[in-house]
Amino acid sequence: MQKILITIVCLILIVGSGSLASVSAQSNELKIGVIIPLSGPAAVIGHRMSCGFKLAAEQLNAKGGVLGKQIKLIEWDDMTEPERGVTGAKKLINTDKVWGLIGIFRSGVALAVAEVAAAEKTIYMDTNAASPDITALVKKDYNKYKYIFRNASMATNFQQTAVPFLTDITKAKNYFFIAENSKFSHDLFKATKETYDGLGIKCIGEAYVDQAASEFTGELSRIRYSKPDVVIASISTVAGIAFQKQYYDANMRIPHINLPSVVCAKEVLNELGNQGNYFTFVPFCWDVPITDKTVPFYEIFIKKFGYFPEGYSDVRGYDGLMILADGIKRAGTLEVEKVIKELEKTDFKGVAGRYVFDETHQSKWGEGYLRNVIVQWINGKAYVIWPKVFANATYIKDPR
Amino acid sequence: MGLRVTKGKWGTTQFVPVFSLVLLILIPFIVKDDFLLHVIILANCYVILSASWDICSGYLGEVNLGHAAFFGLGGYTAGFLDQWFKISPWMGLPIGGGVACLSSLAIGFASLTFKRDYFVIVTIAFAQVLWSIAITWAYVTGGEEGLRGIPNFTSNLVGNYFLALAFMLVSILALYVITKSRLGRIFLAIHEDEYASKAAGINTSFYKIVAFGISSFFAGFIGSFYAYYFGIVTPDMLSLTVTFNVMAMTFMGGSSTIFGSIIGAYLITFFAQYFYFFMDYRLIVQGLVLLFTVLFFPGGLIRIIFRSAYR
Amino acid sequence: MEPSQIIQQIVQIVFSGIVVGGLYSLAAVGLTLILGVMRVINLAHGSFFMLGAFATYFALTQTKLNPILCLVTAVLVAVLVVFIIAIPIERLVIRRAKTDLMRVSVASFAVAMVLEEAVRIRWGKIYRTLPTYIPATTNFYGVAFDNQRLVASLFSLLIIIGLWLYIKKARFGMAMRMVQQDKEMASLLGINANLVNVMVFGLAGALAGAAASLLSPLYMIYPSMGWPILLKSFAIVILGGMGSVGGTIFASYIFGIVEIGTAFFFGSQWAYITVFLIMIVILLIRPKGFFGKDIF
Repeated sequence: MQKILITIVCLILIVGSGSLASVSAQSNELKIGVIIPLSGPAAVIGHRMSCGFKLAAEQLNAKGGVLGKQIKLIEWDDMTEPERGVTGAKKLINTDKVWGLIGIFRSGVALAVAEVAAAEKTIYMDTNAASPDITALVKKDYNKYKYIFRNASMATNFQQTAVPFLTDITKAKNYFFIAENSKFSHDLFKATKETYDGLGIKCIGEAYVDQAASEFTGELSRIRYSKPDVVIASISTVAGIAFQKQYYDANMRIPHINLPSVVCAKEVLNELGNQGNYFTFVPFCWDVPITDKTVPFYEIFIKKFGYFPEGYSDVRGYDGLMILADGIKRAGTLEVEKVIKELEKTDFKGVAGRYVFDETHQSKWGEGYLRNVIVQWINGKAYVIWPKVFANATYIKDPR
Repeated sequence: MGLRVTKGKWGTTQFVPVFSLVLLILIPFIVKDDFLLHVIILANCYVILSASWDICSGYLGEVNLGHAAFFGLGGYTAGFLDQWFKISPWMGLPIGGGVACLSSLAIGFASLTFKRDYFVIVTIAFAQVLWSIAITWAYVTGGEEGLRGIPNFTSNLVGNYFLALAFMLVSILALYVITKSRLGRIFLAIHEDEYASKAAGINTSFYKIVAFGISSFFAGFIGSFYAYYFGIVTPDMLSLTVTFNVMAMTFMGGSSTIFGSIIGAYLITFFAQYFYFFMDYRLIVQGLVLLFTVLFFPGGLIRIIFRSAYR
Repeated sequence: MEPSQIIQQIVQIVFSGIVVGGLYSLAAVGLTLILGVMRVINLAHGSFFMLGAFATYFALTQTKLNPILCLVTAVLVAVLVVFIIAIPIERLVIRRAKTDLMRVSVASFAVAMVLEEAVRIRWGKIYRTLPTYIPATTNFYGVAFDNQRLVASLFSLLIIIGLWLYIKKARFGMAMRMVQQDKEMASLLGINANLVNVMVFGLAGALAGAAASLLSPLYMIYPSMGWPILLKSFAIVILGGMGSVGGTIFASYIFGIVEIGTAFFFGSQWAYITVFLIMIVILLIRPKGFFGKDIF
């Protein structure tokens, strides 16, 4: 008999915990669901995103919240798995009754959650996932997917970050492309090839490495033999760290530019020690006055979280929530349809630049909107080498 | 090792399953919580995965560490059927199961006819190869973003809910009947003592392949359902994580019992989705609980709760 | 590419493969010992590797020693730490679970999960890496080697040779071989099988730790780093024949060459698939691996 009672109690607890959560809803709160990886290999990135969101929410709440409501962030660990992303979206929307969704690192998860958001007519602001397929949904079926906005940048923009390095700084005539094996990288390469073909710069080799790869002797040999002017590296997973180490140790003597990856953060470069020397990368934001909000943001962020912002996950997260709040404020109401109309008219000066959405709800890229800087890391210090307006140094080739 | 039901007694063994079944049927009407329904659908999927794994790894004793491969094969089959042939989901389910089953027969023939220990590793290898192919061959499989836009049986959540429930009940019943049949007894015999079974004239290789095939069919079947329900298929379906989760569920519920899978799958699925108070610590708690179970309750929860029915 | 370049390239691949294979051999041999002597699938092998890497990291970042001393310290620390952790795991977990293949698989998996999560919670917030402690490359007729890798590989070779001799000559080594070949006979002869099992488990863990201390400065250190190593070790063990130490050593070198070779010619995305496919093929045509019987 005891066992029956225990079972019933357990069942009720399980069912009840779900329903209870919605009972405790307060009406003077604006709940936003945050879907980020908090465990698993991308936990570091999820943590950064979380910091960005938290700072934005804090600042907004200090000024009285949005339309008088205090923002409440409810986080969900998607573990970079689409199944968990979908489950989380459903839980956040149905049980926690969030007003909107924000975040998501992996495109696969974002695409799955986009479906849920569209079905539930909930706004989703993508602050990180980069697949072109996400905003393509908006174009495909505007009425169904108009709830999706992206203040992050797309794969096609990612590769434009490196262009000045080849054209202005190194005046390269050809390049070798190496990236981790993923659809994202293949999309990236397609866009890369298009851009450089148009500029008359040839691709003399491409290589894709396993996402958890740790041995690059083969690839480094190939690169050495093809003798490119520049290596464009886009190994965005942990394999990127090993690659940089081996690249440095192998004394390649070929300038290389690194597209966004886990290596492109101060803590990691510090960890690398010598092996991070002459590392050149393209952060989407840096503590230079890209807008008048940028430098103060960096000061506050470092003081609050104790690390130098990586510039994308954290900054775009911060900006994303700010844009959402701004859209709601201008609409003057929480009615989703009206907010969407206002968001489409966004012209917002964030930390990373100026946000304007195009007709597929993608934030525009380019001069006057969102761009990147090029930074070189030498002996533990970072030198901005491009654009000229922020530069405090010029590019130094590895002298060894 | 099977379930003994004593006729006429209205004890735990009878009450709990009946009560739970009634509860499951009534929940969509009592509670208006889409999330709960979604979690139960997930749990039902894992019940089938878990019970099918049990037949091969528990009853037969050939531990299959590549179960996710067949789950994923079912899912991708559903995706391909939709993309290339526009076949309806109802047809897609058995085809998904069939594809998974055929692959398992091939693998089984190669690895089960040899010494036992290789099977484990071959199954891991098979799952890893499929996973790598799914990620690498992006042109066909969509890479890590997978395939999208797969239609579902019905856009009504409650409809899907009852569909999943029905599949779960039918599968459990089918697997139970198999374990109680001569086939099931042969699996147990081979598990107990392979040499004696061979001596008794049983073609052990043949029956091992059969068990593996049955196990994979159900995995593929529910993999297809999963694809139709979520509308997407990604390489995650083929990952080691899925296999490990299934392993934990079967074990915690009670291996070599089909009904144990129900307990294990529900327990772990609910825990994973609802334990979000200390999200950071969820996995380590899960690991410790599993460790605790392995050390002190290797028979699984079902043998504790239903002590009268299981030896 | 001209012919001489191709030859040079192939030489480079072969030598790099051998160097890397030597490092893998430590981890793989540990697994083969467990499979052979204890007849247990240890899914926590990757976690031991990971623990060794973290132990190395903390040992080296706290002290500043000259390169060779660094290497030795790293290996010793890693070996000690993992050995100490592995012993109670064997005693408490594996021994109880050994009765049933499924039980021990789940048990070792649970251990792996707990270890990984514990490390992640405490130290997993940033990606860590160690600088190479022996910088520079040597160039040998156009074939380049990093010194770090070379020295690490030689060191692993020393360890392997030491292990081989120990197994062949020392009493304990002979006890291990007896337990593998015939457990009942071994206990009849007065060999304490439990003690042998504990020691083998500890030894395997220690070897994984040593492998980690030599490999991780070349790569990066994070809580989930053990799984690729586990899978590669399994592949090597199958190639070489389970339970056969000699076979496993040989197979690790082949594995290293195949991995680097495929990466060079096709891209490392295919290396992973190729390795497993080769494994499956080997199982079809020669299931006992390179070396037919269980030999040490």
